[in-house]
Amino acid sequence: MTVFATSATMVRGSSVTTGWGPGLQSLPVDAHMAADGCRVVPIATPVCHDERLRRATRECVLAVVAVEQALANSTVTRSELAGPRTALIYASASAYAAANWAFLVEDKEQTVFFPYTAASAVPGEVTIQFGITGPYLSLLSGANAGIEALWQAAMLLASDQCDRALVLGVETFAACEDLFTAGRWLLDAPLVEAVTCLILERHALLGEVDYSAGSSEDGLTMIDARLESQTTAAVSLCLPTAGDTHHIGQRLQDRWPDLPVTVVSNRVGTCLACTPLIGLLLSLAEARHGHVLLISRWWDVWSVLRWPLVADRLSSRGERKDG
Amino acid sequence: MGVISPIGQGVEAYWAGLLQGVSGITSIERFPTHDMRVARGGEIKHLLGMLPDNRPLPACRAAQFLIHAAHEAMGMARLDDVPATNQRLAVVVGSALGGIGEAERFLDQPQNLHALAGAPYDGPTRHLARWLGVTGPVVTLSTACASGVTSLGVGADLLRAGAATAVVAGGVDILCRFVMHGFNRLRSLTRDEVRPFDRRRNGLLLGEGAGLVVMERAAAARQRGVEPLGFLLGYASCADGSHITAPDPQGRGLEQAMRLAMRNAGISGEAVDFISAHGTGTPANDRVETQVFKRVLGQRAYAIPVNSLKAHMGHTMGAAATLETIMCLLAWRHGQVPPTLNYGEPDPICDLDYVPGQARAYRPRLSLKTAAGFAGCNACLVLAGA
Repeated sequence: MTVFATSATMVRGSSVTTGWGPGLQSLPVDAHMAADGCRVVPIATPVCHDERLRRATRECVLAVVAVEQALANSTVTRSELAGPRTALIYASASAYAAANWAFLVEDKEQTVFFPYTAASAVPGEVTIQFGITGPYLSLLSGANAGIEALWQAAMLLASDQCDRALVLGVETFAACEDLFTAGRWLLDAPLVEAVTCLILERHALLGEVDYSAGSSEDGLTMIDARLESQTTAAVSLCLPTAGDTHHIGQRLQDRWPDLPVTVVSNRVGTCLACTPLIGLLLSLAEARHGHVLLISRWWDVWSVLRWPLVADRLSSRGERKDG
Repeated sequence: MGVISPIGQGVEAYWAGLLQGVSGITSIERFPTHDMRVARGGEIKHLLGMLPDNRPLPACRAAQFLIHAAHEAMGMARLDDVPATNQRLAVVVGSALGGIGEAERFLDQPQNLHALAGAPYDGPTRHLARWLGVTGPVVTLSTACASGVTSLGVGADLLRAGAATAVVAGGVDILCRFVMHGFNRLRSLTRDEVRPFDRRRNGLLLGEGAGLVVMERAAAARQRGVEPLGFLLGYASCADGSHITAPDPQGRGLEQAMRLAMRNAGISGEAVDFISAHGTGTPANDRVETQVFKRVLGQRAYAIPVNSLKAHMGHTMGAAATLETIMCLLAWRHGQVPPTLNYGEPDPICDLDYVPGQARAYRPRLSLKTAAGFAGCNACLVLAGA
């Protein structure tokens, strides 16, 4: 597996698991065709033998496993992660739905301990499991939460409030498939479950991370302004609906025909707040120089993050890959 | 600032209720409670019509609270008549429950897809953003019952990053069967009065409400001819990494949040005049908070007043910390600190000055606002009166 891990890079480790399997390499070329009509592509629930997590929800277990995998794919040790100098920024649009709904309808087969209905339960279990006592935040702004989480992590690192930041995204749909189907006008199929963890560290170019958000036409003007920058090397469209993707994709094609554009949902499907995290990893894998523009939208609000592409392409053992 | 609370709707009524020691705790009437061990809380019986126009409000109760609070806050900040094109207004709302009230409504009315769309955490925030015609970022976050502090911290980040010229930030939560049922199951609700820091304290009661503030760079506000009501000097939100419900026995996360917020503000413990505590009235929270205050501030902790508003209104969850932040700024403005209600018997392990009985004449220029929540969330603000 390819990871982006060295003391000189911002992304020191990462893990991606989607309904398609582990890693970026498991993503299909065309998620819509690969789904073959399935509305939800679930992740297999990991087996967890940890007694401490016996009452935890599936989402908590998925999150803990994702952090373990990110650690395994990095040179960061578990003991480095523990303590007040690690921040945890969590992003999700859906991972609380299963526990909330089960508690609401009093599903006897899925007895949920009430505290696990809190959205903060998922990152909470991660902090407990890894002894993290640093800056801590859960962002729940739908599909825009992933971009907001990357921005918050960059802010915390740039202001020296932590030495490393975990950005954790969890999106699950299987337990509430009927609800998501009922709300089908909001989202495109396939809904692909995803868990993504990035371990970020400080870098000289961190100050170049730039976040902005705006509604409707204001948002599009804001995107245009950032695209005018000579350093924009690529665009990653992280949108939850085909309509938005088509609209902005056409606009980009008309105005900046030479700019490489990745439509993340073509590769992975709809995975909401996880999409920008996967989009960033896909951009880093392409080893371009300059900045990638991550673009998401939730309801009326466009979110844009300019992120410097500074990662070297490394093997899982931290060795530079040629080419 | 804007307030919807069980002891008063609007900042003036809220402040009067705090000073007079009004209790907003009543029997819950809005939904069935026959199967609950404790059926009291800080329920808002009806929303006073404070909105000037006849635009229909969304059905979402949390959104209604937010819209009323925002109307007051925008008016006070004189931003209500500034054209949207002249500003990049953002909204940051923290909540422990989000749109769960709408999920309950959808459960009762499965054909009501509007209720389903409003059920996610960000449902109430989106309603508010639409109502205000927001042109900038629209952020929803949750650090459980510390959300009302965290939202102000993220609001300040948006201003610093230049992503917004003004931010409407704060917290909201409503009482509903979901949360009353949950806390009843946990047996954390008291059948007695809520008694923060008192030896007899044995649990909390829940409440509902919304608190919002308009945040802006001081220079930008003054340029518009508006004097700031207070300043946010520092903020931090930190994890306990200890337990999913109980606070860390040593209060590590809270201590880290206080120290980091003070460092960010560039102040030492000696500068602190007042602490607005989380003060839920549970045995563990009040003990841990007191220990942490003494560790962080040393002898200064004994010299300054510390209060809790949880006995006035119940624990209004995501709204609580913003409502308490507003109290800190009002305390500076009016030179009075509201009391901790129902405090009568000192606890040897909670040995600070908790402002018992009645409001005190005191003008705290520099205040700390602490908050904590499920899953080891802790947050702290450093506030200064203008």
